[in-house]
Amino acid sequence: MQTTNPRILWLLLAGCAILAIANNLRVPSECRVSWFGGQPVFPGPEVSQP
Amino acid sequence: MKPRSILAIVFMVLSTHLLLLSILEISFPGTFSISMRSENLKHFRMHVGIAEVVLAIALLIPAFRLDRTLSARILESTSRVGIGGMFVFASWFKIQNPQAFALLVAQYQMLPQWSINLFALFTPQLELWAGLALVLTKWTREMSIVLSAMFIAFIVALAQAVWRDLGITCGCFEMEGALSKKDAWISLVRDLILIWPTLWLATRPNRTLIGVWRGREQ
Repeated sequence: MQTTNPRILWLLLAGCAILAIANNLRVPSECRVSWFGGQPVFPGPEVSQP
Repeated sequence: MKPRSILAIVFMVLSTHLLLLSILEISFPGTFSISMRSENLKHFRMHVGIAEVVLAIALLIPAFRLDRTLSARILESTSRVGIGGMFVFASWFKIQNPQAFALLVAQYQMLPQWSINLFALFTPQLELWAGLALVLTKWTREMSIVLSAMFIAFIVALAQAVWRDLGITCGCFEMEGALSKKDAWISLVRDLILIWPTLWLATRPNRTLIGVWRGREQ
């Protein structure tokens, strides 16, 4: 019975974290997200214009 | 080659073909669906997809009885290429537009607000590199465990969305607005089908795709 190599898993996770940061800097500004926080789940009620 | 092996190959090709058809039937009904071509079958695409999966599994039994080693090799190769390729394909649009993907993640209403953007940035990278590594490297077990964990996370997310009656879209392959509850069901069924070959791959020895056919361990 073979065992998994935790080093490979850590390497994958660390590499993906670095590439995720690099990708957010690479994409156009309209596709970029802030580092923390998220999109609003529900928009607020619409305010009728006078 | 023995006649038993040739027959096993025929069963495996049929089984793989049916499994692929079922995934396409469930995921891309507008493009590939058999049931969408008939007005009577239109509302039964989920049933047609599940019937194809059952038939695909049934065909594996005679194939493994006829030639166990060859069938396992074919199943391992097709599972690795299919699942790995699917994850690479799924990651692509998310990597190109993290903001749109973050919006899809937010509609699940599952993660804390501060973690949504981090999740939307990190997950597509994990899908891309784990998918590529499953096909191109020898680390089958490690990558299968990562991909199985992702499937479990997706299944939990979709199940809670169905349970809470959220009209969401999966966000798996394309970016669309919120859809009906039925679409979450469809994505849930697809993930419940695909997790099994991924879990099976986690039991296989680590070796490259070429190594599978040379019978090498490590």
